[in-house]
Parts: sequence; C-alpha cells; structure tokens
Amino acid sequence: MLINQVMAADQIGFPVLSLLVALPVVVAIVIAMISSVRLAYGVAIAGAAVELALAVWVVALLLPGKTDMQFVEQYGIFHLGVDGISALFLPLTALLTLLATVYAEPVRENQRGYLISIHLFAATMMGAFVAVDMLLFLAFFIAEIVPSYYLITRYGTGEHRHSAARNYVGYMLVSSVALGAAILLLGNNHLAATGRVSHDLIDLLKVPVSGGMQTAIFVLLCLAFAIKAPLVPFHTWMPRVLEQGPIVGMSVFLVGLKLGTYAFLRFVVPLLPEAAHEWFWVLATLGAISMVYGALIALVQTNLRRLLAFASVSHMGVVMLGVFSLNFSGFQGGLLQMMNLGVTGAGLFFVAGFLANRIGTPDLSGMGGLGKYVPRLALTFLIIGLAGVGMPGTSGFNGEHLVMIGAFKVHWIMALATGLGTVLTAMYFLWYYQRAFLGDRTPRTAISMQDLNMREMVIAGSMAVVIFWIGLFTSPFLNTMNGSLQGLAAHVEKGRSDKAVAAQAKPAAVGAAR
Amino acid sequence: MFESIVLLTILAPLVAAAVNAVNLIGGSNAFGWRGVQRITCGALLISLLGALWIFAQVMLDPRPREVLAYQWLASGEIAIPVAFLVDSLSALMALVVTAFSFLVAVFSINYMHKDRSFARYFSTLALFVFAMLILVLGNNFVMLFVGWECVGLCSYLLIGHYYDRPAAARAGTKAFVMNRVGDAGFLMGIFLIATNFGTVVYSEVFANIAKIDTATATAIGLCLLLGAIGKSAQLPLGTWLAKAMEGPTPSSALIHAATMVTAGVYMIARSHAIYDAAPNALLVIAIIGALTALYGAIVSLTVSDIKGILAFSTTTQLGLMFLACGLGAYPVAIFHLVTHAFLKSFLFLTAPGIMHHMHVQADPHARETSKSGVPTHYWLILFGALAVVLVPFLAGAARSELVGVAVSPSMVLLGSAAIAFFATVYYLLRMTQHSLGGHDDADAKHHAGGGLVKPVLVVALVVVAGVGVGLLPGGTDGTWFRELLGPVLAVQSVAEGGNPILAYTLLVLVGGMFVTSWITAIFLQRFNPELPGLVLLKGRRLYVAALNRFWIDELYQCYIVEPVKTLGRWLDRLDTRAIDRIVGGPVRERSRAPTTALWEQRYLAAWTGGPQQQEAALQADSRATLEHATGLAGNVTEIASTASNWTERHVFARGAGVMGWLTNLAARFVDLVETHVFGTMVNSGLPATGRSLGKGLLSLENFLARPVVAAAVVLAVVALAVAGFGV
Repeated sequence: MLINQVMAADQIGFPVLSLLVALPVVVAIVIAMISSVRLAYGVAIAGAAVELALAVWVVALLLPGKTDMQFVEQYGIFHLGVDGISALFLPLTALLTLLATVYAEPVRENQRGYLISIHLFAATMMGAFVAVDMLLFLAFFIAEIVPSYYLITRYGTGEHRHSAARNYVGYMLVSSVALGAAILLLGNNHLAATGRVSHDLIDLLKVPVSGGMQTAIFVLLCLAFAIKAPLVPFHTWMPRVLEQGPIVGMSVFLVGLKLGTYAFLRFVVPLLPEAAHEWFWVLATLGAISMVYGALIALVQTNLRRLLAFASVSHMGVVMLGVFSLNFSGFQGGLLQMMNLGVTGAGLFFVAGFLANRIGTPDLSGMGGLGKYVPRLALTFLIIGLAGVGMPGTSGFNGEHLVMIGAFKVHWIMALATGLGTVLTAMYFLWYYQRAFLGDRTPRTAISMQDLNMREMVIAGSMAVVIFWIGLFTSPFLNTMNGSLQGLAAHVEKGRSDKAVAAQAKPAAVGAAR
Repeated sequence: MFESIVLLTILAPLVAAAVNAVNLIGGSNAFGWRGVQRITCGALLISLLGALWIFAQVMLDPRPREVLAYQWLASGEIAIPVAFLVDSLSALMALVVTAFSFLVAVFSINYMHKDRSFARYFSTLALFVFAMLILVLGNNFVMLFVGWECVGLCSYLLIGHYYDRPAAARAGTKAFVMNRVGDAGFLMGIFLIATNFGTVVYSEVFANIAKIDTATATAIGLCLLLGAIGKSAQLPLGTWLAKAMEGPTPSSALIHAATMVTAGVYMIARSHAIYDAAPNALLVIAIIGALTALYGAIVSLTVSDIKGILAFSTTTQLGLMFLACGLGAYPVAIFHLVTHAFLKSFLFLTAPGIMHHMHVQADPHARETSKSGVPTHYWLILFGALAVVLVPFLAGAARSELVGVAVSPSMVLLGSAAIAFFATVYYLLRMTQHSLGGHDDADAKHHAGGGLVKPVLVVALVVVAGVGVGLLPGGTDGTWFRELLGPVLAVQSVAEGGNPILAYTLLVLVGGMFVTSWITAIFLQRFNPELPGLVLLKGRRLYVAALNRFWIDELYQCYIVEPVKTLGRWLDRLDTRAIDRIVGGPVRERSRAPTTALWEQRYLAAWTGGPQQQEAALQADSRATLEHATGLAGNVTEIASTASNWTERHVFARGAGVMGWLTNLAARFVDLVETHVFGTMVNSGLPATGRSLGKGLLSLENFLARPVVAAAVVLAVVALAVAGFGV
C-alpha cells in the first residue's frame, strides 16, 4: 500500500498540525503563569475555541476522496499528517476539550490545575491522532498517562481513586510495552528489508511483513490496543477509572476518544492485512462478546458511571465488529460509530456530571421521578441515550447500521449479534431512564433540584446539534473518510487474495517437489 | 409544484413539533397553550390539505412518482436517499394519517385542556405525524425503518406522557423494548435485501424480485414479518399494546388503534412482491394473524375496562388484517385498515365521554344497569361499529366465490370476520348496556361537552358518507377501492392459500371459536349479564387464562427478562470477582498512604491551595528538612532508608492478577536499577551537599513539583528518548 503525501506548506501554508498539538500545551503553560483564575479560565476557553476552529478548518480543507496523507510535516521522527481515518478525530478532540473546559467553570477547588491537565491531555490525544511515525504515536500514547494520572488522583471523586489510578497506569504501561515491542519488531523488519531503520507508517507500509512475523506483531499490537480500547477481558480498568476518577474531565476523553480502536484501523489493519484476515474472527468474536457482555452488565448497574463504563465496553464491541468485518462498509461504520460514541459517550458523562452536581451521587438511590423537576436534563439524557441506542436521525443509527451491513457481508451471525446488542442497549438505557427520571418515587434531596443552567444548556445543546448533524447529514462525514477507507479496503482485499494465492501455491509447490 | 407540496405536507408537522419543542424548552416564553394548539392544528391542517391534494393527483393519474429530497448516506454500492414515493397506496395511507391526526388534534385541544404538559403532548403528536408520513411515503426500506423507529419513539413518549405514574413509565419502556426486538428482525430483513439486491429502493427491489430464490425470499419475508409483529402487536410480541393504554386517550386512538399499529400491515402490503415469492412466509402471516385474532377476541371478553376492551379489539382487528394479508387479499387488508381506523378513533374518542360520564371510572361493570340512557353516545357507538366492521367483511365474504375449491381460503376470512363481528358486538353490548345504560343521576350537565362530541360526529358523518357513495364494501373484486389500489397491489383475487390441510385447520379453529364465543355471548347476555365469569363455567380454565391474558407477559418476565437480568448480575459478579483477579487489579489502599501519594499531597495540595497553604507547606518542609532531605531526592532517601521491605515501599507497583504480576515485575526491575545506581549515588551524595545547598535546592524542588513542569519534564524525557531511538 502506497500512501502519497501532501505537504502542509502546499496545502495551507503553515504547519497547522504542529500548531494543533502545540496550542493546548501553550495554553496550559499560559494558564499556569497567569495569576488571575478568572483570566486563566478565559484563556482556556479561548484556546480551546481556537483549537476547535483550527481543527474544523483542517477537515474543511481536507481533499476528499484521496488516500493521501495530508497537511504533512516531517522533521525527522516528528512526522505528522492526517487522512480520512484520523481527520474527524481532530474536531472531536477539540470539541470535547472545549466542552470540558466550559464545564470546568464550577470546579472551585484548584480550577487551574484541572484546566492545565485537560489541555495537556488534549494535546497528547491530538498528537496521537496526527502522528504518522509509530514511535511518535507511542510517545504520545505514553505521555497521555501523565495528565490522566494527575486527573484521577487529584480530581477523582471516589475514595479508591488512588488504587484506580495505579491500576490505570499499570494497564497503560503494559499496553505501551506491548506496543513498543511490536514497533521494534516492525522496525527490525524494515531494517532487514531496506537496510535503514524507520518506524514511519508510510515506510513500513512499503515493506511487507512475512507470515510468522506478521502474526507475532499482530498479537502484540492487538494486546496493546485491546487493553486501550478496552475489550473484554482487558476492560477492568475502565469501570474503575470511570467510577473513581473525575466525573467529567478525563472520563469524557476516555469514553469519547477511541484511541484504541482508532489504532486498529490506523496501524493493525493496513500493516498486517494477512494476519488480520487470518485472525479477524478472534477479534470479531471478542467484539461480539464485549458487546453482549457489557450490555448485560450495564443492565443491572445502579451506578450511572459504572453503567456508562460497561455501555462503553459494549459499544466498543460494535466498533470492533465493524473494523474486523474487513470491508468498506464495516470500516465506514466502525469509524462513524467511533464519532458517534465520542459524542454520545462523552455526552452522557456530562449528564452524569450534571446529575452528580445536583444530587451528589451517580447512584439510582438518589434518583427517581427526576423528569418532573429537571425536564431539560431529562430531555438531554433521553436524546443522547437514544443516539446511543441507534435511533434513526441521530448519529447512532448510521454507524451502527453500516457496521451491520459490513458484518452481514462476512457472516450473518455477526450481524445477528449486533442486532441483539441493539435490543440490549435499548433495554438497559430505557430501564435506567425509567427508574431515574420517570415514576413518582422522588427522594427528598432531589426535589429542590435546579434545571440546567445556561452553561449546561450550551454543552447539552452542542451535543444535540452534533448528534442530529451527523445523523441527518451523513454524506459529508462519509465523504471525508471515504477516500482513505476505500484505499484501505482495496489494500485489505489485496492482502486476502495474496494469502489465497500463497495458500494455493503451497500445495502446488509440494506437489512439484514430489 | 408536486414535489414542493409533498415536502410541505411532510415537513409542516415537523416544523410545528420543532417550534413547540423549542418554545417548551425555552420555558414557554414565546407563546402559551393557545399558540401551541394553533400551530399544531394549523400544521396538521396544512398536511391534511396537502395529502388531499396528493390523493387527488393520484386519482387523476395513478402512475407512481418519486420525489428525491437529498442523498443521505452511501456505502459502497448501496446508496440510501431521502426520497418519497407517491402512489395510490401511499397517498391513501398519507390521507388516513393526516385526516385522523387532524381530528385527534382538534379533539385533544379540549381533552388535554389544562393538562400540565399540554405543549409536550402537542409537540409529540406533531412529531408523530411527521414520522408516520415518512413511514408511509418513503420510497425505500430504510426510510420505512426510519419512520418506523420514530413513530416507536413518539409512541414511547406518549405512553409515558403521565410519566410520574410508575405504570405509565413501565408501559413505555416495555413497548419500546418489545418493538426493538421486532426491529432487530426488520433490520436483518433490510440487510438481506441490501446484500441480495444491492439496493433498498422499493421499485428497484421489486423489479428484480426474480433474482432471488424462494428460500431467500422466505428469509427476507420472515425477518420483515418479525418487525411487523412487533409494531402491529401480533403474537407473540403483542402484549405491549394493552399496557400502552396508559397514554392519553386521544393519542391511544391515533397511535395505538388508527395509524401506528397498522404500519405492519402497510409494510406487508407494500412488500407484497417479496411475499408473493414466498408462500411459506405468507402462510406464517396468516397463522399468526388468525392466532392473534383469536387471542384478542377471547381476552377482550374478560377485560373489564373500556380502554382495555378497545385495545384487545384492536389486537383482534389487526390479526384479521394480517390474516387477510396472509391469504393474499392485500386490498381487503388495506380496506379494513382504513375502516378500522374510522371505527377505532370513533370508539376511542367516545371513550373519554363515557369515562367522564362514569365519573372517571373506567370499569363498565362498576354501575348497575338501568335504562335511563345517554342516547347520543349510545347510538353513535352502536352505529359506528356496526357500519364499519360488519359491512365490508360480511359483504366481501358473501361475494367471494365459495364454489370451486373445496376449501376456499376466503372461508377462513369469513370465519375470522365472524369473530370480529362477535367480539365487536359483544364489547359494544357491554359498553353500551353496562356503562352508558346506567347512571345514578340524570344530570344533563354531566354529558361531555360539545368540543368532545364534534370531531366524533365528523367521523360518524364520514362513515355515513362512505357507505352512501358505495365505497363500502371495499377491497373486494370489482369495487372502486380495488380499482384504486390495483396498480400497486396487482394480485390475484384471493390467493390460493398454501396448504389445504392448514387451511382446513385454520377454518376449523376459527369456526369452532366463532361458534363457542357466539353461544357464550348470547348465553351471557340473556341469562347472566352481571357475572360473565359464571357463564363460562364449562370453560373456566379458558376464562381464567383469558383473564390473565394467557400469562404471556408473565412468561416473558419469568423466562426472558428475569434470566437476562440474572445473567447480567452474575456476569457483574464474575467481572469483579474473577476477571478482575485474574487479569489484575490493584490492592486497596492501606491506612498509610503510599509514599508517592504523600509526596504528591504535600506539594500539589500546597500548590493548588493558594499562597497561604503554600507558605504553610514550605514551613513544614523546612522543618522536615532538619530530619530528612526533601523533595524528590529526599523521597529517594526516605525510600531507601525505610526499607528492606520491598512491597511496603512500592505500593504503587503492587497489584493482583496477571496484570499486577507484570507490573510488579517491571517495577522490580526499575527498583533494582534505582537502588543500585541512583540510590547509592544520590543517597550518599545529596544529603551531604543538600544542607549547604539549602534553600536553593528547596525552591528548585518546588518548581519541579509543579505539575506543568513535571509534565514538561516527562514530555521532554520521552521526546529525547524517542529522538534518540529514531536517530
């Protein structure tokens, strides 16, 4: 697979991607320097808004229908670029940063530290999405641990937040080690073939990896990203972090930005097409299991944050099914579903934050019949939840259904599993909604609740706008990703036929030897 | 012109819904309830006029036309447009939908007056009309599904309209989830269509129907049927309909009787090309329809509240429509759909009057029978029901040729029509005699106001007009109705049903049921009107079963819902107890916080807590300096000096399970390096120089302790390492 590069200098005239990565860092430093908290908050908002505008600009300028890596900047290992696969993650990251910053206003205790961590986290995420060199990706992948550890331990709301943070770091380190090992193996392979060390995706794609090595690298990469995604059975850090950690900040990113599944689409599938063909069923099965397993556990949760964590595991399963359908529709669906989850998963965490601000607990014991007292909050919860359920007209529908189309082409059982997932999703979500917002048993503490204020309305409103936008006008989003995904699908298809040819050639060779 | 009118018809209710919703979310500041009702009714009137115009156009020129709005999404070879198909079937359905919605909306103005959620009700109603129009006018299966889901959502919202009542909240969830089960099947059907035909647009699919074999057609048909079963409340997914009566009565009339629940029938009629290629799927439809009709008829005998009776009567009628579809008599089914819409909205809209009359007591048995009547309602109900239900079926059955084939499937139709007849007569008798007949005071003011009666009268007049112009009996050969639908539902008169043995069985089943219920009804009415239970002495078990709605709900609860929840709980336990332990989790904190946490607290808290705390921390640190070196270096010293117990020092790296073990291993390695290389160096070097360096080091430490700096350092180190690697 050959990927051409379009330099940022030709396309926009300045290194926009570096700016995207650096801007949050600069903002964080400025926030740290300014003495007035009020002013620092203003800077944070402005910085996030500029970041969002830049990210949208990049997507708008992206040449659609091409497989090219665009806006490329390369200074040795510092190699950045976007294409159809990564482009949409930039505005998503920027949007979530902006909303998390908007939300941060009521954080009274050390707001500054919170804002700094949020922006640093955003910078590492942004970096991971635009990194073309795998070592650079690894660097951002590891760097992300630092602000998140800080966020969990300092702003976590659970009493076990320290243990959750340690657990998180442990998992992430194991994930990084596996990723690092895989990258070294890939680099070695490149060295053996060309005599030059490179861990750059574009170089690596030019050098095919031999069969046995491919499987080994595949296992390592899958381990790394299955932990990050997370997939059952590597998911246990996720509910813990989301339950004990900060209620919004980092949770929003963790749930919203699907770095793990993105990496499957970015690195695993294009680099190792043959191994992907050989082992796709393992990951598809893991995906299906995650989906049903997560949904079943979510069904019996009373704690909203734990429910969202397992819902997230369940939705990850859908994405994995799409990605490992290994066809165009599946890729489209998987990627679109990642966008959708970015909005809905993060949105529900905002709602959980709104609720926790008011009743002090994310548990059902503090809820019941809330719809009467906070109708707007209930409406927000319902809209975002229905997008998660896959209601047509919302962003959830298109992604889920493209995944199903892709899965159907592989095997009808895979599609059936997705269908089962949608039923279970509706079940756990609506059941929770019913118990929390409907009915007449309202705890006394909840009666004096205030409905959403202006700031929260802004967050809820922008979430709703994005949900309906993606849901109703899907074509622009698909057009952005289509070029790269078509190239990827063709590449994978070629991998499949190569493998078939090799498989046929082998017995023939044996026969000839006889 | 045509296109813009179609779009206007569809969008007007959406605009009304959006305007109302925005106003509502904004706190109803822009306009009050008067504005809400004007906007909604105005929009629905526009829709109605549009639908009338479209219908007129179709009458003038029956050729189907397509209207493309925009391209929604495309994946590979499958493109899904937002486009509309106008032909006689969809135009008729659109007319039915808009006409009844408008009537119901007008009726609701009075009915929902002073309701706390007046605006919410009207927004949902308008949204429902929009969704229903998408459903019937869409030109492909995905649009059908979009409308399908959206009407499901509106139904959910309206059932749960009085959401502070737990029963209403539960009923809404139940309806949604059960529909969702059907929808999963529907989706599978759509994907089968998409993979086999490469398109989801009706015209293209039906034109290429010969491309697929019977087995595929059957599979598609059965998948779609599952969706229809869910939406049209057929067995075994039909139990949500009775619970759905928790919603406001006008919305029940519109959604759960006249329009939404008939969507399944519409879908089957629309995709009849697929079913014609799959006789076995048709047979399944017929059987399910017949069983549902029986089920509804039996249960409706024992239900004791007006809306419950109406719900089960709807179930019966829907079963009959399915039966008609299953026998290939699509025009009959559609005709029955239309007439049933009249009947049901009529009955439902009179129900509130009755309930009002009965002092909001929904049980017709609650009052003694006496002959001081409420004539308007009595006659309205009796007339409406008789005119609409009986005429088409009896006439239709009488006209169909009973000669020729030994058992014509139309006889099955006849039998089931008889059930409908019986059930209708029976609940009419009960409703009129038991409830309307008796009233404790003959105060005229008690009667429903004019606002409640007028729309009902309109419906009655339309029925009279329908009979008058010879519209009835429709759907059978040679009638005007048949001619109208001919181009779309071009099918043989009444399909020669699949298997004669099954046809026999059906006939016997239906006939037997008819006879028993007929006898029961007469017996009941003549000899023992007070206690229907005693009448069914011989069939007591049946009575009990019917009273409990054949325990279908309980079966679901017992064998599906509870096991799923139990499985969920079990998995949850497994997750925390087993998987967590095996894969790894951290140990719980001890009472003594880990060194790193202490360090972090000391500095970060100080830094974050403002100047005062910072000062205090600094002082504390200076004191601490006397005993220990401080900061990072001090930490190392502390760690090194406190000890030999490895695990005690490295709580950070401890954990259980595989993951914990791996972390542990990595940490041990790092520890080894640290103790032997840095530990000894720093330990021996720094404390000595530390004192002389004094405050300088301290301030450096403080600077380093800032998270920004720390993060920057880490980033720099990582970047350096990476750069080193790269070069």
